[in-house]
Amino acid sequence: MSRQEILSAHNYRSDGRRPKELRDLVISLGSHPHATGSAYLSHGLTSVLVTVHGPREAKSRSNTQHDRAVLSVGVDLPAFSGGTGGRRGKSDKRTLEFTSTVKSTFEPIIQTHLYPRSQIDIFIQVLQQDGALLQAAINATTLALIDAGVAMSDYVCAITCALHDTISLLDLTNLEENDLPNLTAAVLPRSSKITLLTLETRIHLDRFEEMFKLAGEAGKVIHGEMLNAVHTRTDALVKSMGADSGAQSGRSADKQVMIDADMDDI
Amino acid sequence: MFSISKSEQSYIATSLSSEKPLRADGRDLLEYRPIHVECGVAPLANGSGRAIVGVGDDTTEVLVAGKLEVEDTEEELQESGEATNGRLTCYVSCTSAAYPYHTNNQLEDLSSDLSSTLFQLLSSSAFLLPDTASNNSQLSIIPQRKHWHLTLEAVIICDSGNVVDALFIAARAALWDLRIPKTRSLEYRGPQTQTMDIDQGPGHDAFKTVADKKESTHVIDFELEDNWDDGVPLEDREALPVCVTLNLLPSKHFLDASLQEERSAPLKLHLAFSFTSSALSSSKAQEMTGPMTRPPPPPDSIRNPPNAVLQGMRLSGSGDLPIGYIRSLLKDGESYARSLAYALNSKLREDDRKRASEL
Repeated sequence: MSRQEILSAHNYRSDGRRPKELRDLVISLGSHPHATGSAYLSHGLTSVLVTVHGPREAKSRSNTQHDRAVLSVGVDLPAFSGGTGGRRGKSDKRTLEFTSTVKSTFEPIIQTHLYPRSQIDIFIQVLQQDGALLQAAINATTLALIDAGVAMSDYVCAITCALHDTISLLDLTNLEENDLPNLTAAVLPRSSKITLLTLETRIHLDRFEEMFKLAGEAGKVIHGEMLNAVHTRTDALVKSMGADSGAQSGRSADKQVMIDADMDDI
Repeated sequence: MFSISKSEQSYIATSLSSEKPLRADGRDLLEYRPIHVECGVAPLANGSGRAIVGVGDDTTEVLVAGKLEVEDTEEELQESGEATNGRLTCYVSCTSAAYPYHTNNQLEDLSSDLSSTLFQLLSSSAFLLPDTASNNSQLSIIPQRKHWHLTLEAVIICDSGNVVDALFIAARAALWDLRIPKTRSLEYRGPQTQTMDIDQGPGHDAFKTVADKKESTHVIDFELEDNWDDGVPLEDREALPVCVTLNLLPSKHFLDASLQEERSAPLKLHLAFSFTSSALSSSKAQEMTGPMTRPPPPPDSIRNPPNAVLQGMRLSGSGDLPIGYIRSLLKDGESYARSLAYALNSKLREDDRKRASEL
């Protein structure tokens, strides 16, 4: 089988994308019936389903903190998702590293001081893997937390970036992730701060700054998509509650007062 | 919602046992919630299926995928002491997303319980057993040497009752969708002398493809056929086992329990049946000679009942069952399973047809 080239002569990647082009982003909120919040997200062929339970009373008293919520993250990587090797166990090193990365990314963002003595459980179910798994998991976790109504200081948007010769590539597939030096970055779009940066290979310092800036911009683009999805979901919820005249309230407060005197401004 | 008080349990059990039984969602005792089944949800696996029982907040969703790996028969013989011609392993993953109130130990217990239930009810299926003609099962590659090891992996996304039935429906869909890669056997023939062509030198490839696997006795290896399609489906997919769970009350039984009903009637009987279709030509002849005013005959598989085989039976939960009841329960279970099998087969066949016409 001939080796697939990462970037063709005319700057097309192996799946036909341009270097800075992101894969198709599909977001679906609130699909899990029992979870407090849930989000299904896929970047191209990488898809994950994240469920959030909580904030709720902790399963074991010893785990609680008197002044803040405790976060626990779990992940399931089934064999059929396409990752290398078979199913990963719960105490597998890679899995532990993955969960602790996600946990430390969200701990400073979630306003845990608002939920003392409680526990927030995040569970990441990986359905299919084609590169950029941490990116998908973090994005989906942000959306699931928003769907659950957990207070956060900002969205967390993650993106992967690789270097091929002198060209930076965004949103990597499995093939690209395995072959190229790559980093995963998570940004807070409103404050333009970085909250996570992982790099497991070597990149020259001159190139790094360029990739880093690019990752920041890409994070903002993903933020735009996530905002769209959340607004669509909220509109649907508001309509189904029968408050749809209230949905327009942000735009026309005067009309709102005339239509329904009891309804508060949303 | 996962724990329920004794009064609630008694209330639900009483209303189920009464003369005119009442269920919380208004169903009949023998009525299933809407079932949605689809194939091909995990393209990277050799076969996959998803089953969703119920709608809205009250859904049980299970995802099953099967992966095939090549295994050496002799190594397997040494390890487990059994000569096999194909092996099946089942693993059911119960995550804390589906069971948020379970501790880790309870999750592991539940997971191993469901895995062993699934394995037990599937392990004597036709596709695993050797075919009478060739003495090889569908999962063997080179008889006595290499075989496929099928790993069925299930993920429970959420559980609102009756997870075993949903698990089995999804597993059946995954087996229906399974495509076994086509292989060609290779045999070694030493260098020949005058019979060979002049341009084939002594270094010519001694590994020849064998046209007919059954004839050759010198088969030592295999190669994958380089085809665009994914492989062959299992033979006689319509005879794959179907499982029904009968929830038992002292006087009667009911199907497709919701979470609360499961807590109120913990004793369950899981029955797995497989139905093979018998020859239908005789019944067709009768159809033609009958009068024209007769109403259209019901589908052949119901009018001419296919042969039923009980693949497995498992009693779970606390409680006991008087032996005398078993016979009638088996008879009832068989008729429920038959309707379920008929419905599943029609749906899966229809889906296959749609997918084939799309390509």
